[in-house]
Amino acid sequence: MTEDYVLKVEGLATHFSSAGGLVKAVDGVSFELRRGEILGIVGESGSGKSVTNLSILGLVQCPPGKIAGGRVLYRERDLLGAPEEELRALRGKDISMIFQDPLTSLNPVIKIGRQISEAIRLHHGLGRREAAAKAVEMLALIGIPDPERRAGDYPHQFSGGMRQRVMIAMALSCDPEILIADEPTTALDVTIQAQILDLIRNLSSRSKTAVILVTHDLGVVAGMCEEVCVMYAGRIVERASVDDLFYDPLHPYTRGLLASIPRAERAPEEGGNPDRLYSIPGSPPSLVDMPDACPFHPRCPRAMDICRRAQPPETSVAGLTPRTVRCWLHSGEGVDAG
Amino acid sequence: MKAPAFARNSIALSGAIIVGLYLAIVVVSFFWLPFDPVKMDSDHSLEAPSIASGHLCGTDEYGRDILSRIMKGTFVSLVISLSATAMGAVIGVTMGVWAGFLGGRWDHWLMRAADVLFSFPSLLLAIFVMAVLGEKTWNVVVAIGIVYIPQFARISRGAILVVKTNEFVRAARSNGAGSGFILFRHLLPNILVPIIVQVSLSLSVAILLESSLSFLGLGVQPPEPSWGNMLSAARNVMVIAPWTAVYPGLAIVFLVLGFNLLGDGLRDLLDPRLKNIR
Amino acid sequence: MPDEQSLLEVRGLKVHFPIEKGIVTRRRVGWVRAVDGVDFEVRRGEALGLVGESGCGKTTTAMAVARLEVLTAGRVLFDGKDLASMSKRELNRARRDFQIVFQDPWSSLDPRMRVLDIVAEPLRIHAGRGDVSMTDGDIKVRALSLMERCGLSKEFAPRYPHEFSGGQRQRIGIARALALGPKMIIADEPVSALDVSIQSQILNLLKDLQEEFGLTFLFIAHDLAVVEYFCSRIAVMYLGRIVETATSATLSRKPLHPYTKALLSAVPLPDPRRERERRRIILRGDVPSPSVERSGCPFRERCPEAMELCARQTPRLLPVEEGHEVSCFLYEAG
Repeated sequence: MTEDYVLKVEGLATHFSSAGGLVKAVDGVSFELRRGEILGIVGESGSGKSVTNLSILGLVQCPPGKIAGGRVLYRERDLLGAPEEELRALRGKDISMIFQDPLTSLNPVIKIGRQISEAIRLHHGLGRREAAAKAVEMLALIGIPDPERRAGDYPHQFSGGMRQRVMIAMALSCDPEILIADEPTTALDVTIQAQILDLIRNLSSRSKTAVILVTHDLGVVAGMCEEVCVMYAGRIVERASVDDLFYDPLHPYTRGLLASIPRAERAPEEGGNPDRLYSIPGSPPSLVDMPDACPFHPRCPRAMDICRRAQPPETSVAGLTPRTVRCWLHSGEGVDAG
Repeated sequence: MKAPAFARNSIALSGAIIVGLYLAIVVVSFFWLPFDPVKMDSDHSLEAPSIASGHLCGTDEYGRDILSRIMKGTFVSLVISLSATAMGAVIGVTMGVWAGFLGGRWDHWLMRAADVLFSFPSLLLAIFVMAVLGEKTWNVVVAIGIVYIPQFARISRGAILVVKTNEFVRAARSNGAGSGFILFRHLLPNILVPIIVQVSLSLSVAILLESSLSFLGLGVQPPEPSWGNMLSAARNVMVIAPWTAVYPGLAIVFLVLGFNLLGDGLRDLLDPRLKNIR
Repeated sequence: MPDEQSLLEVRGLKVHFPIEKGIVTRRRVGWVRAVDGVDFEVRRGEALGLVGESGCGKTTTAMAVARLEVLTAGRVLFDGKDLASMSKRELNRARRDFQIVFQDPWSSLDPRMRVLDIVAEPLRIHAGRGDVSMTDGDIKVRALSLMERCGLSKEFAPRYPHEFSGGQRQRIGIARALALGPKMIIADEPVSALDVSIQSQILNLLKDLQEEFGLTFLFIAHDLAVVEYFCSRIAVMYLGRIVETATSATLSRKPLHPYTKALLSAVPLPDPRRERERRRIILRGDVPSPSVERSGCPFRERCPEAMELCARQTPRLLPVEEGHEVSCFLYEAG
């Protein structure tokens, strides 16, 4: 039985050699992305979520980085071994990526219209005039008022929200199969964030583009994603459908995160404030020379002896959709599967 | 028992050793020189370096011992470069900090003044000043100092502008700290690094500027030896007596190297990020 | 007559920055109306939140209250006395009673100072002026005890800021703010730059300190969820004005101003079912710039319920019910 997977990541590992030692930024990450699905990757700083994305597209600087293992299967090819020319042909056309800061992703000295039409020409081979017309079309599609005139403006003349919309337009202009969005709304105001997420959702469903949405904001994940991976210290500690993750979290880190978010609309009657928020004690670990143990155990309220001694394997658990968790609480003897 | 930080940084140490060597030579030169650096001796002109004759670096066309002249010239070069850099730094940093800290019209006009100075090529500006002031040794200091003012002003103004926006400045202000307190306790210590780098660069360039001026006949006047005027005199006889140019040249090169290493090392040392490495 | 219960009362606060152009000579071509007529009060012991998006003026308001920005107009009554008209000497003495916790854990600590000195600095500054009479030994002792109270071990005293994580640096900033035993803390986005799991630690710390020392808070943030958790009352700002003020519960349950409604609907909830069910109000256009001259209600260009009147007149902040004020013609009687 073949699932309709458009991307399959297996055991991806990316290491960096630093002055302090070996940093295993990504340490055995596996997930699948179905056609047209929106997958969320959630994690805090240092969890490895951004490096995972960069590794998929071969954008990690090597050295000091190094792909230490795993496979990234796209259309039957392993992208990790692919030559640069092949990757370049894919980037922007079949697999697009947008970043957190649109100001540094756009060329400040080239007009917006031209940047978009260049991207279109590169991948569609259209003539200059046709590409320019298509660029104006794109600007209108993403809600930029007066698109003909705006195509002649420079990036700095657009606001942060508009620039991000331009990035999205450029990324989706070639109807890619996959869009990787790395914290696309983190730097934006919340009302603008709502616009942008709406845009991503609409455009990607129109062109059946699968989206990998990387964020630290669990609220965004709840609103946008169908499947979620939670990352901690370079590993995926839990993978589940969005409902399973929020209503039945298994990994102590996931539970801790969900409990420590202050929630709007949870304030009690007399405008007062509930007791203390739950907070996960301690801080995220340094990734240098990590020992062979569960990376979360120093902060885990349910750590057991085995957690200190060995890394838990990824275990399948029952759920609305196939779900896994990396935790000894769910991987007793005999309960072990890939 | 760990060695003091300074000793642990090999770059700073080598720089310091080199500069220290030159300083030692200056001190020695006050009491003893192998030969009289000024007395001419046509019997021994253009002699190649040899241990037997005692002229370790040979003699120039007037028979004067090159080593002695180099040693005597060290004092001049060091004094000039240190004074000129000090002058440029003091005036330039004051200007730049004033402009950056106060902003507004002060910033505007002080920087325009610096721009005017800046627009002249260094050597040309120095020559111009010398022409106006006259060819005395001390005027070389003034000339080079003036060249340096805009550079220090630019660097310190830029650094102040960056540091000024840090929230710890606001934190101090929120307790009523006056401008003086903020300037001396918070801003200046944080702009030390780029200034130190500039100082070391300036020291080395000053040596070169002084040498150029003397080379052109505008700096230290003969028979007083300066590395620059030694090179100038060596132009004519370089082909047959290369030592007349090589040794003064090497003296310049090593001192410049020493200042650069010292500057690099100091910059690293002063970075608190490198302290307390457990 | 200043209200006995309010520690801070702000009336008609305006902060306008001139925009100047020119290379050789500079002329003023316009104004940035960062804060354009703001009224609010903070009662003793409570936490008032100032929320809004970029350019709304919340940080400028806080800085103006702390007299770190020049007021173009208005009064700031702290403990009954107008900060805006005090002499420098009186102001500096008054400063002991309100302190600031800053947003950026990286730029709020001088990288060349040891942690103990950073925490002790406010004490030393005031001692130097004679407003505080403590020996340096006493100051050190107090600084150490504050550090411990904020979760930093005594061993950290001789270390430098770069040796600490973001969360720890915020703790240092908080300890510093407590040094003088202030009555009020102005917290300028104290947790915005921190990871989620650290945010809750710091928020808990601030809550503990609030209870222990009876502190009053002016809490600035853009994250509504954080503000609704921490504060008992909230003022929503847009383009330099307050558009709505209410208790946290009321604001989240019965928002009145169209902007507040849009803001609340835009905040993503970590609850997939509710996210699927909710109807989002998506505003058109961008967050506007406070430097453009505009007439009428500042929100009318993006307001889904804008009327013709909104372009002609500017609404005032008026009470709609007990403890709930709105600045909108939809609620202005007549």
